[in-house]
Formats: sequence, structure tokens, C-alpha cells
Amino acid sequence: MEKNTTPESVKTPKKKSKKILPVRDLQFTYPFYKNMHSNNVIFCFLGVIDPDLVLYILDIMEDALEEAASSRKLTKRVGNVMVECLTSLYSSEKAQEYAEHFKEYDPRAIFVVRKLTEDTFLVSAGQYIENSRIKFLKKLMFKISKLTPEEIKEEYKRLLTSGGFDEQSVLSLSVLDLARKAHGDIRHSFEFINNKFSFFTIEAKISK
Amino acid sequence: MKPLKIESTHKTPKVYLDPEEGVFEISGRSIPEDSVGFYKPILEWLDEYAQNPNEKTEFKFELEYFNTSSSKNILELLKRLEEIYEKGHDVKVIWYYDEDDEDMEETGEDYQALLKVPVELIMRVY
Repeated sequence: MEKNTTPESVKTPKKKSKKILPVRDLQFTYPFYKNMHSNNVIFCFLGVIDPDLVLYILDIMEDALEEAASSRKLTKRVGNVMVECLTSLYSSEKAQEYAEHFKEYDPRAIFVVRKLTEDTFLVSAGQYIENSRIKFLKKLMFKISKLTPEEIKEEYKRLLTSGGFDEQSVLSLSVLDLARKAHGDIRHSFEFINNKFSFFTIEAKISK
Repeated sequence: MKPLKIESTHKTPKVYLDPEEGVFEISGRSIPEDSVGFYKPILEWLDEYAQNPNEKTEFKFELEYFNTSSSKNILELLKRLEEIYEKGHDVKVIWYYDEDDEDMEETGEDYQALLKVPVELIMRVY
């Protein structure tokens, strides 16, 4: 009986519901939020890394870190890693150049900072790169993975003095710098996309 | 010799090199994409300065952030100062770092280890 006694007032809001987004569209946001929350994401950026944007990102990230980090030293170190990732490791100039030449190329990069423990943060950065650069990067990452933190510091100094200003020398120095700041705790991956590009991700674990 | 003055931007440091005033300072953020292009006029200015340097040169660095491509150019700049030092002039580099910035301190220590010109590290306490 009760089913047939629904008051008219209960039915009325149905007209208004047309203005609300369909439920299927809203279903994206909450799982996305939950995923970021459960993985302790304190900062995330997706977009074309314009050099002018780097310092705005840095300011926002520093504010987020002020609350999340247990010390100013940790905040500063994560900031230094971010600057290195966004200004040396990834070239927005190159990304724009690829985007002009290849329709399928997406120049956007991702940058994520996660808080793993009170004193540890994981900084990740990813961008599409040309497959022709993979061989060099793999060799470099393999070499660094075999070095102790002290050897990384020495190799950094060696390359700082002996390396040139060509792209590979600066990239090597940049990755070594990340490794040095992370006390050797860096990881990477390549996701094959097509015969021209792959997605390169690098992660650095920053501890107190 | 004309002083070299470059105003700071969001990405590049303030540069103030004036032999007459005895001021040699680079301060701020050094994260240009084209660091070679940014440092080229500074290196050229130093090449000219090296021809007839002051008896005493105290070169101050007070950087907030910098990237590795800048660090290579800064090393080139320091090598110019080292040349002046090795010719018998009184040259000293002062490398300031924030008390919370261990990376900046470590970079100063690297330059200390790599160069013969004296590099003094001074911690800024806030």
C-alpha cells in the first residue's frame, strides 16, 4: 500500500534534477579523490610545463609542503628536486617542438608529490619522450643504480667539471643531481606508446 | 670598465658587477631554460675584467634555487675567477646558503673541492 501513497511533494524535485550532471559523470571525481587521498598525494600537476609556470607551481607546492613536511629542510629539498625535474630533466621547449611536428604527441607532463611517512616524500615526474632517447637513459639509469650515494656525489662532480653543455651531458648531470638529493633512491620506467614515443617516469624518494 | 647590471626575473638572478664600487654579486633564482644564453654576457664581462682586475675581488653568490645547467655555468664563472686568483690577485668567493638548504650548502662544498680559488661558505640563519 505504501508504494502508492508517495506524496506529490516528493516527486516534484525530479524536474529540477535535469540540471544536475548525470551520475555517470560524477562517478569519476570521488574515486579519483579517494585514490589521491589513499596514496597521500599532497600535490599534483598535469599540464605543459611553461618555464614561467615553474615558480608558481613551486610556491603552491611549498605551501602544501609547509603543512605536510616535518621540517623546513625537507620542504626545501623537495622544492630543489622539483625545480630540477621541471627545468632540466624535462624540456618544455623540446615538448613544444615535438607537439608541432607530431600530431599524436602530447606535450603535457605530470608531476606528483606523495607523502610516504612523516619524514619521507616521493617525487614523481613523467613525460612523453622520443624512443631514440631511451637507450641513453636506460644506460644512464643502470649506471647510477650501481653506484653508492658517495660514488654518485663523486660522479656528479666529475661530470660537472668534465661534461660539456650538450643535451646528453646536461641530462646526465640532472639525473645524477636527483640521485644525489635522493641518496641514490631513484627509480624509473618507460611505457611504450608507439614507434615514436614512450612515456618516461622518474621517481625520487626524499628523506630527512 | 662599465659595470654589468642585470635585473632579476622569476627565473634569472640579479647580477651586479661593478669594479669601481667593488661589488660582485649574483643573487636570486637561477633556473633559466637557456642557461648558456643567460650566463654568456656575464662570462664575457669577466673575461674583460680579468685583463685588468681589482687588487681585491670578493664575489658573492646568494642563490635561492638553481638547476644543474646553471651550476655548470656558475662553475665556468668560478673558473674565470680562479684564473685571476692564480695570477696573484686577492680573490675570494662567498657562497651564502639558507640554514635549511642542505643542497645549496653541498653545492658550495663541491665548488670548494673543485677549485683552487678560496670559497667561503656562510650560512644564513633566519
